[in-house]
Amino acid sequence: MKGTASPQTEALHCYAACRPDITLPEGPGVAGASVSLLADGPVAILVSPLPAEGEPGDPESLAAHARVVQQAFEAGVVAPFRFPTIVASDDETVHELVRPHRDWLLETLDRLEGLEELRLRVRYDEDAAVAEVLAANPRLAKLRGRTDTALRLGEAIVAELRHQAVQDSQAILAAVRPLIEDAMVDAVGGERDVLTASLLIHRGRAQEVDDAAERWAAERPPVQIQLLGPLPPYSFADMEKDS
Amino acid sequence: MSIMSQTGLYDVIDVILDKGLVIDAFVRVSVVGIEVLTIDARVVVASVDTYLHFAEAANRLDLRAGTGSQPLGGLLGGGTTALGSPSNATGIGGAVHKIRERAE
Repeated sequence: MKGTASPQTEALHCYAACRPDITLPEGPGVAGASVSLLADGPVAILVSPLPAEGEPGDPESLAAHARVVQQAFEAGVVAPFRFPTIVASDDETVHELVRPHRDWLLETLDRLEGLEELRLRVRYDEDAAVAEVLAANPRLAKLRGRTDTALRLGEAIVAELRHQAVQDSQAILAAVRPLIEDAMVDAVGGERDVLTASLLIHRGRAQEVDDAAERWAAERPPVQIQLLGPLPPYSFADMEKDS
Repeated sequence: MSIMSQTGLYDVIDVILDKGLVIDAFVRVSVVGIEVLTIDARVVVASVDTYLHFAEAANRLDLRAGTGSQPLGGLLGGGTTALGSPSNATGIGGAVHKIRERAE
């Protein structure tokens, strides 16, 4: 064991599982505390002492958590904990918690080695999407401007948009599929929010994925694409234990 | 864009909060005081309001430009071409940045 946290503190904030030889993030962690490493064989956990006072899970803590995980991710493979994960600071407690899961944690780190996450959000430009629906459905277009059919018109447009959103979502995922290792869809088929998904890719491949998404989107004017990253693989850290 | 900027963090807050390792024995305390969560977590439910909103959207569109897919580019006001400036794609030391964000 190395880099144990101060024994005076009552709780530890857990950032991520990682390998014990990772370069420690330099900046302060949650509550301004310095980040240290709790190693148990081939698996380590990035932690920092958490003062008893103050409410856990505030926005500043979230920002600090994200910063530490991001820095660690830039130094090596990490499996981020869901925010906020807090354990009693007693070393034995921590190791009692980690040891039974060590093989699984190690497998998770092996699985995530060399990979990163991109966050994909697809939306419709409302005016463009509605105009497209009306252009494809002249009968709906005739209902415009009438108060007695407003609900019918709106309902029909929403139904068309949702149907289109599912198709567009499948199409964009198909467009990037050759470049990604995995995808996790969080939401699909809304009349405004077409698709929210996370993509697991090899590090350094973000631009290729972006290019592929852009090539596809160029053919679909109502579609707006937002691609964020590269992120630590938050969305893919907890997959195998559940299955 | 750095993850530390308000926008950057906001953009990935659902990922950080809802995803990640959960070990059964680990305590995960409740999250308090994260106001932006309430914005991001809103559930969009189709309702009368939604229908009326889209009916209104349809009403305000100027369809005189024609029908079919071709005029839609005009309705976008050239938005698709102005989007995602190359600077957005520049890496900043591997930190989180917007690879591209199409203008709203």
